[in-house]
Amino acid sequence: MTLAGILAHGLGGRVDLPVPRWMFVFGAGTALVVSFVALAALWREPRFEGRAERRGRPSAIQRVLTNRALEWTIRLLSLGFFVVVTIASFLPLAPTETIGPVVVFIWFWVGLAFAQAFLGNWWATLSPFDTLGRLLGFDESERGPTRPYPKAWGMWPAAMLLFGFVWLELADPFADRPGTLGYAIVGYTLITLGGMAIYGRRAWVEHGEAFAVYLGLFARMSLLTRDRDGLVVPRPPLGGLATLRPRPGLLALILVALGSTTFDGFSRSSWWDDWTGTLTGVPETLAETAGLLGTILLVAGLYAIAMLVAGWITGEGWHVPAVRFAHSLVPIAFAYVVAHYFSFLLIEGQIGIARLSDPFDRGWNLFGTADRLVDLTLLSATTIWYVQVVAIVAGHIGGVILAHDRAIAVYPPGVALRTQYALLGVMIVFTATGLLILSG
Amino acid sequence: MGVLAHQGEELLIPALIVALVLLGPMIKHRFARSDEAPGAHDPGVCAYCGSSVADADERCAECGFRVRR
Repeated sequence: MTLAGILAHGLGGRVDLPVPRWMFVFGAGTALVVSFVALAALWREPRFEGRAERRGRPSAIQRVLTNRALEWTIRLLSLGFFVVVTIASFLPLAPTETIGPVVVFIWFWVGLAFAQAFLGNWWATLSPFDTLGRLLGFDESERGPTRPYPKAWGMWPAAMLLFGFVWLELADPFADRPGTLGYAIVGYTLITLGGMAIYGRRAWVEHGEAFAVYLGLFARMSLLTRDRDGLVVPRPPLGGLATLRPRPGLLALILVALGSTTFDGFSRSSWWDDWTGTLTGVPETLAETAGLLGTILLVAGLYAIAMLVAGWITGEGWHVPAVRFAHSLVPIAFAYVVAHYFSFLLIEGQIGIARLSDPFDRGWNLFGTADRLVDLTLLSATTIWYVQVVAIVAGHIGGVILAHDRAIAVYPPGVALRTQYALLGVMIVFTATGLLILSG
Repeated sequence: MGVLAHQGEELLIPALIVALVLLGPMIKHRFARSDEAPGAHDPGVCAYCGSSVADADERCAECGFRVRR
């Protein structure tokens, strides 16, 4: 049983649909093909690539949004909350009895992903790791020249640490030892501060802090960003992903995000239960680890095949286009987060409101919410299914748009469209598989 | 219904063969290597980020990707 499982992950219930589920799968695939054809006919100039950076104008709202005192108040409050959550995560209690696992696996892992995608990069201010790095003087500008971050490492440290987190969440090797999450948080904090101490705060946040990199990708989808002076400015949805700079390990990180969410859905299906339902202890952890790795590799393999075809057409091999179109997978990764976890956030996330008043299960009622019950009627199974379908279709259409925009910016007109056929095929496979897993 | 479904299957195979014969050259052309594409990159430019790379560089100084095998 995974941590997510212990937290009663997902909702059951009867789904009342006007047509069979396979029709949704067929319709979703058709929507992708129609979008592709419409893009080919109507989207002939790149709109995201090479777009001029918008500059903000000073105003009263901007003065509030860029106020240093407000920023540091939020930073210190977030750091204090982090300390509370870390202490609670050491307690040898069931996951829903303290604030630790609820905040880490629901509010932070799922809730922040939503906040980032819709409202911009909140993690840049809320991150206790970044705040600690600043307080400890790990800024490059403060401590003079640091050891240069090895360019060849790229985002591989972030990709490996993200895999560690999803492994802890999904394979849950310490399920029978409550309190292990606290050690994981402290371990990750030490690794992060060590990276900042050696290579500088900014370099580590950009390459090694798994959550800053992962959540930062979703923030690039949002309508809001900051200009070079820190002023908040609007931008087109998904527009920030086109300015994502290629780095070694970035694709791996995106594939970990995509594959792990897919496996989380698959591991809750009846098929997976038929295979592994009788396993417990180490064999269960091994099966979950193999399933997680296998799903990530399968997703990576399908993407690589599409890029092999694109690379064959352009004569570049598979790796250059694979890196070039990696950003198009980010909306899909976010769509999977929405589809798999939004009910988890809205229903199980309510547990956190009660735990806020009694974070360590000591019988406190600090904010008067300790006895608040979870409202299971907030979402029906039918509503959840519709949100899942819309999220999966919209995410894949977003991916098709980003890939198309980059293709027409990089390749000659006669070639650009042809590089996208195989990717479209893979996206249709992803869409169908995603919906089948969600309905299985 | 069963008979009709069976007849449908028998029609499907010839229809697929005809479609492949007609569409095959088009599909082949669509996935053929292009003469217009960038192809072999300028050795002085990183294929990943477009930055300039010196002859002696094993990796691009800007993005960190390997540019020499």
